Amino acid sequence: MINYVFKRILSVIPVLLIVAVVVFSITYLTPGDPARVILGADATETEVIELQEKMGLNDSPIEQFTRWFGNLLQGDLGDSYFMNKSVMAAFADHFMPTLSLALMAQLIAILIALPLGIFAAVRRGSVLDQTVMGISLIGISVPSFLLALILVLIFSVNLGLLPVAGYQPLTAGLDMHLRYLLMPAVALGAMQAALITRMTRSAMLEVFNNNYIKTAHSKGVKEKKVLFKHALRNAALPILTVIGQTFGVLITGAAVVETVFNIPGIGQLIINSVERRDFPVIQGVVLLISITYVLLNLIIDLLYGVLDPRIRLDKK
Amino acid sequence: MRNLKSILLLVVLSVIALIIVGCSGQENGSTNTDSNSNPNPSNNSGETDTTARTEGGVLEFAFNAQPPTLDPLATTATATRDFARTMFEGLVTFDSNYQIQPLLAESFEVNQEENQVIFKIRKGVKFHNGKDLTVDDVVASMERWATKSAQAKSFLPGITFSAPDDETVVAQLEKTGFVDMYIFADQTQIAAIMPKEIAQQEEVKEYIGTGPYKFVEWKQDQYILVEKFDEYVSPEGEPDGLAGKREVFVDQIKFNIVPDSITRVTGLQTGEYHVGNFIPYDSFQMLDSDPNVEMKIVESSMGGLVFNKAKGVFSDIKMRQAVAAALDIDAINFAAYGDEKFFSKSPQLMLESQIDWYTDAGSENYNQKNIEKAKQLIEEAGYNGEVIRIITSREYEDYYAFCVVAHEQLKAIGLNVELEVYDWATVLEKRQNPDIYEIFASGWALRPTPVQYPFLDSAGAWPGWTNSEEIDSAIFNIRNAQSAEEAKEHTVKLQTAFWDYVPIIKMGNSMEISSYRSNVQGFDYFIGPVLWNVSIEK
Amino acid sequence: MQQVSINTKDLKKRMYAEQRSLWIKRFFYNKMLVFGSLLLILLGFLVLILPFFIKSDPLVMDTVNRFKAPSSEHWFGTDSYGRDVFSRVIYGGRVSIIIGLAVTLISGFFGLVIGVCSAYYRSLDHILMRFCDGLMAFPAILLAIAIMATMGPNSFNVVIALSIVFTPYVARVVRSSAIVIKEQTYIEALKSQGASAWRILALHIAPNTISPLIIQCTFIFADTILTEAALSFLGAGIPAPEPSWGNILYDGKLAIFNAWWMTAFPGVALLLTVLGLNLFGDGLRDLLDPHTNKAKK
Repeated sequence: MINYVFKRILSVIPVLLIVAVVVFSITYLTPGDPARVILGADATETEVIELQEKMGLNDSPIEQFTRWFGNLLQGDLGDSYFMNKSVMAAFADHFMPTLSLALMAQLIAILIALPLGIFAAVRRGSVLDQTVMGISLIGISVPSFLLALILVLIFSVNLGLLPVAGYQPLTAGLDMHLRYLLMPAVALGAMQAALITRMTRSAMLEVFNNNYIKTAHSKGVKEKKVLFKHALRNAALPILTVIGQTFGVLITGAAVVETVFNIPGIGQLIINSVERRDFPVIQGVVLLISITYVLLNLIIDLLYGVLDPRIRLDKK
Repeated sequence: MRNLKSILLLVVLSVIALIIVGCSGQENGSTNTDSNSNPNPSNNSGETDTTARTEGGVLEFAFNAQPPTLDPLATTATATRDFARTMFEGLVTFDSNYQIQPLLAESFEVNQEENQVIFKIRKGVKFHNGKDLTVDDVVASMERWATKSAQAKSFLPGITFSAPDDETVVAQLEKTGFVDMYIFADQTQIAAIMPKEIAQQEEVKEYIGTGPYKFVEWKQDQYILVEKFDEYVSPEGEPDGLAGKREVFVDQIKFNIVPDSITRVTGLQTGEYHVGNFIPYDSFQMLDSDPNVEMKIVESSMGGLVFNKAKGVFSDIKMRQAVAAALDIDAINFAAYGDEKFFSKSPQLMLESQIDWYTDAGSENYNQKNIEKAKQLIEEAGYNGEVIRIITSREYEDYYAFCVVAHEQLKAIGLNVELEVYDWATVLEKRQNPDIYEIFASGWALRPTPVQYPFLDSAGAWPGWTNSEEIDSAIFNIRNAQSAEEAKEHTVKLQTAFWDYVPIIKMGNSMEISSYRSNVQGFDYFIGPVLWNVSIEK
Repeated sequence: MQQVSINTKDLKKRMYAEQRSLWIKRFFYNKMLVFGSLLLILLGFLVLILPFFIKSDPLVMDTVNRFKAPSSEHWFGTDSYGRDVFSRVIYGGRVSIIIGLAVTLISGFFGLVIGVCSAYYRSLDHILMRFCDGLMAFPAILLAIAIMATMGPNSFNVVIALSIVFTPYVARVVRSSAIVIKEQTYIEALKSQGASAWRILALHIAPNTISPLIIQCTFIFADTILTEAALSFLGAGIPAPEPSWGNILYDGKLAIFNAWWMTAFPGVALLLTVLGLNLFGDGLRDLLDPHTNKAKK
């Protein structure tokens, strides 16, 4: 097991290598450069070229790559062109709001989705089932920015209960923190909840058809016990995957919702950096996100083994 | 079947919810449009009367864009301009009629024989770090400005600064001219006076000026915080434009970076923000009908379509004139701004209030809607279906609208037009390459003199590559004019040439809408928001 | 000899016919499937056929009549350029549905192949899944801008960019189901009987991953339409002025206080499409999965 984890962590290295090369090539191929953005629309070409030279943007791609990669090997992701700080610091700054938001949205989604999905599966074909599935269908189909706007109009503009936008760190107090995050978390969580509900229901139904559940029933095992001990446990894999995946999406930035609510998270960092061509930040953040993904997926894969002992990941 | 019923019910419910939300927005947007819609900023300056004002509070400003840097000389971006002048001050500035007024200078004088401008520096002014302002600081800062500012470089070449005594700074020019003082007062890249140690560094990392507010913190992509500078020494006189007395009432200004325009609007409605800039035109009615929100509409920039005159079909003057003849600029402005109060149909390079410069010359070529003439010019030019590529982005919705509508109109007269939409940074790069486009849209903040627009002269080689002898010589003559009359005479020639050569097609001037809560007093807008003399009342 | 062969042929024919009628019966018994199909056919008709009959052009502007509320002349009102929202929604639907379907099919297919293979072949798993990790880390926006910038802005490149973005999501979900199925005894039995790996993958493992696959795919369909909108906002989506539901929605967002119809109608159109697709998907799942059918009744 430890051996397996160790191998998986080692496998990060080739992933990062590939990601590094690809992200560098992509940023290099993308038109637009930071010097022009810094200088603004009225700048003359001489000024632009001067600044490009100073920033080393006119060096050959090989030169730029070796310089960047050399620093990378020493653990230095470089400095942002636009923020007076290192890429690492910028990532750390923007990660906290995103993590808070993701956790809260995920929590909301799971709390709603799991019970609903399970009950819908148990009472298959009932009014409850159909209502739940109907809502979840609509949940999937409503664009999150639209939901966000509707929430803002109702709870902020009309009722004046919650702030329109912005972010308060935990240091400003838990209640402030939550007040600012509640609406964005609901807007984000709704879509996740819909997806998880559907996945839960279908995974549970899949399991109900298996013989061991029927056997358990026929043996007279209590309904609840069948449900939670046998069925849920066996249905957990796809559910877990979806949760892990949606969490991955949330944590790497729900750009649209972050923009509407003006939350300084990873999603905004990426969009802003792409828009202003802050190459070191784009490259660094993509690398850091790939590490996050690899680790997240490792945890999920390990949980597979815990939930379903038949799966031996370390075989061979 | 119940299954379907419940789903259908939900669909219907959600549609109703959408409609309710939509309608509630509608009702708010009923007709009530007479607030502060005075496009001329000069009339508002008297408004700041000296009734007792409340001190203290944090002014929450919903600001539309993150400045690329806080160093005003490192960029031409307006986001930096608007922010920088709360902290930094130059030697001279503008009043609301674009006349030059002293700021850190006590007085100034132009000596034409010696080709010098002599500034007397105000006494007792302190920097934010507590040090006194000296002539050495001024010389170092002005030297930095002379090497960094695009305007200084092109209009004041070879300028040097010296300090003959401890209250005088002398700018030595190659030749004095009519526009020099306007360049010293230029707002796009203000000649910020900083301590000598900082001004001599290549890159400014510490933001220390003499302005009414001092820098506290810049949380990137979140906010910029400045606070009242207690030891601030203000110039005297009635506040007028950017000149006159500057009083600070609020403790702090927090520039919240809010790129989403709808969020700025809703935040103003709930009182989350005191002031917001770049309010979208389509949200005006709704905010205006809110009794707690005041509007300020100010004519602030011009926009237009820029031709690539270096290569391709528009290197032929006839083709450019054909487009000028064809376009229905009224329709374009309506699409971009929606209402006549948000734009002015102005073919002029200057505002009517800029009396020294204002002329109607050439305006008969504006908004012609003359399809016949256009078709004839196209035929004379020998146009043969070559593709015309318009590149644009959605960064600025009004300039995007120019392109979308012009695309339709030019297609209608038989041109082979393609619209290419990219993101802003891509457009900035692509417009630099004469081989890959024919037209792009852009806008320019209104300038105090006509010669400062980058699309006019050939020297700057600004994208579009204008190269007209008439325009160049008119600019030369304006710069070297010895009197206002002489300058005006050449401005008439410049504007005639502008509409004849058609380097760009100017659509008109656009208004910038700023909104503020009605408890905010003394808010003004002149080439950007004016944030001193502002207080938050109960 | 001859007689026998005729007999078996006959028998087979009868068997197929019976089976067919059973499928048809099942199909009509499955209301979700029927309703979903009807909805999709209706939408398909509106979006694909209607443009030949309606006269209003989605590109014609009338800037004097911007933001006009729905009326008998403009059923869905007009937008910020005075264009008819009804014809934009119809034309935009064609673009959006085609792009949504293309991306869903492409990423569904590759996701299925990658997911099943990496579940079955341990050695491939590491490579493929790490590859997916890397891909998932890529911001869709950056990828799309880069692809559009190097290969030119057109709808085909939008499909490529989005398919690359969504494939790993499908792959991971498919893999998670396939891992479980692979460990079940009947697969072991098949293996010991000497069934080829491809046969096991294609006939036994892949079909059993169909239900999470369908759910993920319907999700991707909706997401594609919305992501395309975000992209076209950055100039990396469907090139303007061609309408798509996504860019109508985004235009609508800017004018949400003035013109609710610009958001409501494409929003409802999108909602109905996804709804139809989901009903169809759920129904299909029930139809293809024999034991759920029996379990139901």
